[in-house]
Amino acid sequence: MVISLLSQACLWQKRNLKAMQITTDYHNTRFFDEMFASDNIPRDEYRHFCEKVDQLGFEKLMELQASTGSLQKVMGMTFNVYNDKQGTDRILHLDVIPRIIRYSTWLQLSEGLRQRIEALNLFISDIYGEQRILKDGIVPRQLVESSEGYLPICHEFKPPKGIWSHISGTDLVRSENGEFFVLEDNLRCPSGVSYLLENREILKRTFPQMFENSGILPVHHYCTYLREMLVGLSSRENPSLAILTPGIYNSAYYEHSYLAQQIGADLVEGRDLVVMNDIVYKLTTKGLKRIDVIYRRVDDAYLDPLLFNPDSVLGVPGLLQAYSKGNVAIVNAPGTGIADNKAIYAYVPKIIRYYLGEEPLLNNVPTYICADERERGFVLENLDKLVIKETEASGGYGMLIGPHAAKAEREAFKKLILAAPHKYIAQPMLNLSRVPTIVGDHLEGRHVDLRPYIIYGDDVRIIPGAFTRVALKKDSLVVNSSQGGGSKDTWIVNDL
Amino acid sequence: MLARLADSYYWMFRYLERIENYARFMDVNFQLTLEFNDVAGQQWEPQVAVSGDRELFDRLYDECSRENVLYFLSFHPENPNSICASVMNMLENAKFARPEISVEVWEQMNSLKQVVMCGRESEVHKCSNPSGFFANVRACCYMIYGAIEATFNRSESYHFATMGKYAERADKTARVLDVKYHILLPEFKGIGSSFDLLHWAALLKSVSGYEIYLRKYGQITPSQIVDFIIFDPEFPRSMRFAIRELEHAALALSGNGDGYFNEVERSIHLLREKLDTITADEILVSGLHEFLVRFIREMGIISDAITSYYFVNKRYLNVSHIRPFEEKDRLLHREQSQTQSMA
Repeated sequence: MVISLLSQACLWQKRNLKAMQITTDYHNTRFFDEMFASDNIPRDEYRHFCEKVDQLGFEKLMELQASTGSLQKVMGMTFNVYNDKQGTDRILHLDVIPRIIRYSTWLQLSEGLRQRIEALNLFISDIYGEQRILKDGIVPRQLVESSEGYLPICHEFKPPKGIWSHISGTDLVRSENGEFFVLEDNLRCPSGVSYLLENREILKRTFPQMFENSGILPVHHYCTYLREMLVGLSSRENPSLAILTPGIYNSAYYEHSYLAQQIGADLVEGRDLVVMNDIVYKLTTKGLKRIDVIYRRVDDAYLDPLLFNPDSVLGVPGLLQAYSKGNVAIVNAPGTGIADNKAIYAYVPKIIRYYLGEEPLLNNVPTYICADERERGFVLENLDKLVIKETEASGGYGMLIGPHAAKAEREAFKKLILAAPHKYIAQPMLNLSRVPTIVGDHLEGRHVDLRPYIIYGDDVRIIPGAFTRVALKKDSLVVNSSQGGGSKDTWIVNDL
Repeated sequence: MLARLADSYYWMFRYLERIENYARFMDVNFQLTLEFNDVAGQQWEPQVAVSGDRELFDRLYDECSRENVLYFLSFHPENPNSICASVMNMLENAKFARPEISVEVWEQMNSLKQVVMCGRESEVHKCSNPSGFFANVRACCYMIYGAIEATFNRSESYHFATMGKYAERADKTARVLDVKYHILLPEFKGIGSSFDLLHWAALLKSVSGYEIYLRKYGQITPSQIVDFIIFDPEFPRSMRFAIRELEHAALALSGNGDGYFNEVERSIHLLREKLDTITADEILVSGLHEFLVRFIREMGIISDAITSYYFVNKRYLNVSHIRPFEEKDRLLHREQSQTQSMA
């Protein structure tokens, strides 16, 4: 039995009066700990890691942690605050203690994700096609048609191969007993995959000895999958690819440029493209060159000022006309937001049964729809036990965590819900699992989620890796980077 | 390549060259002032003049003290051409071009930024010896140049980068010669004092040409120094060398043979011919200052020609209903319009 130095680092806290509270808290059974089973014994998947840290020493671990920040800066993995000419760089904090998942567990998750994305894609196709699921009364028509993500113009589109959501990043969380739940399906422009890939590069640079004989599965082929999927969307030979970015002030710009570089695409802004005779061209030093596939990282509403937001300077006038003629492929297709709505989320199990005739492999979090009178009544009575979410919001905004909120906040949300019930849903509060994380000079448990990336081309492909976000604030359950979240490298390891 | 990226490459390298030049000018001047009592900031005023941002400086400060000048040229947030601003601008352009520049170059550029940020935080302009900072900045610049040499793809982007580098270099060399020569106002016959000697040596060091010059000419002679800095065909910081490199890059871009076939090539060609056919003595007789002012203006014309021909790129768009890539879009999207000192 291995009692690792890491667990000693936690135990050591018991002798440290100041941190006593934290240590007691650490063993609180309310949370599932990813690293330790009971009594500070590492789980199998963490055994190799803990042994290596024992050899290395805890001091060394702290040193490595300190060096990752500067490495991120040198690699330019920064996002700058809008319009800051003084060069204040923000980096997404990377905690060097990885999140480790067994391959057997991972395979089960992958199967569930595959099932989910196939069903959601059929749903989007149906909504912009025959609308069978609405006619059969499985999903309320009103819910779909009142959603901001529903774009009637999409009825005119027939995306190549019938695929709408080519790239998705599903948020998974783990409850008290270690069971996985889907929290959100991100089907618009999910970001973070570059952190998955670069976190691995950084850990390999800082921690090379960890990777020897560790059984950690590689993730570098994500970009190969991405490129193959994009190329497969065009019928032209050697299609020309572009990633459409809102520009260098976008917080995900680093990712856009990273991916463009890895897949050999042009990184373009709206002003680099023109549409003539329903064909999209880029402006080069030697004239106009045709673009065949656009992986856009610009939201639907800004894609084409002729159809949507007329003031948008991020998009390309005439782009969607070219798209509807089949002269350019757009990834993800416009309109996928309809399946990425927190109220629709509640229906995903039904959607899976309806289109695939299968039982869902992944759990959905029980969701109460405030538009429903009976469920609303329950929600309003139990505000102190539930998490309230705005259906169209994201990034950890528009949210009330009932058990943590002050009475006044709950009252405020009550008014909001009553004023516009269809805009809100409620879910029980999930006690997200925790991973030991370096805080100052010791370890504390911090809550994490998990975002795998799914590529849907000729088939569904998922690399064995994910973006683990960690809520760095003590006791916080919100992992979004805009709300004080950081990240961890995620290792999928072969079972021992 | 994307027209917008060509623009980015051109300016990325102008800024890089500018950073290295500023750091060198200040370091050389610092060493020079050690040998003199700096009465009323006389030794630092020329640095402001070389930068071409005299007007802005006068608006911000009353005196040309060392601290003021070092801060102004290195970090002042209102100076769009300071080392700090140039690093930011260089990196902004590098971000635009990120997918196409090598990791090695990108990481070196970020390291340079770290060095400059550290210098700003530790307030090196107040230090008794700021020399180490400028040496570090220059070393980083050389690392970037080295990484470019070793890893940069020799495609269109490289030619735009080369044009940016030499356009900036020609401009800065002309400016430093103009200002220094003006201070010394030499008698044609020779050097007056040890004071003059040090100044001439400093001028040569300002263009990294001291050793090369001495090896070629053996002694400090004003007219030979002028000849060397303007015309030397082998010295990589001479104005003529820069123009020739500019011309090579322009022809490599268009694939044209010798001569000129577009407005960019024409404007470069005209200036290069002028430099090929005039002598240092002729310039000194008719007025060095006038010659240099004209030269700097013509460099501006070349830069404008490059911008309108390659970057703004209206010549391919003969369709009236689309309105891509106009000047106001550029300004709208990019806080910065690229900066160039005018004086």
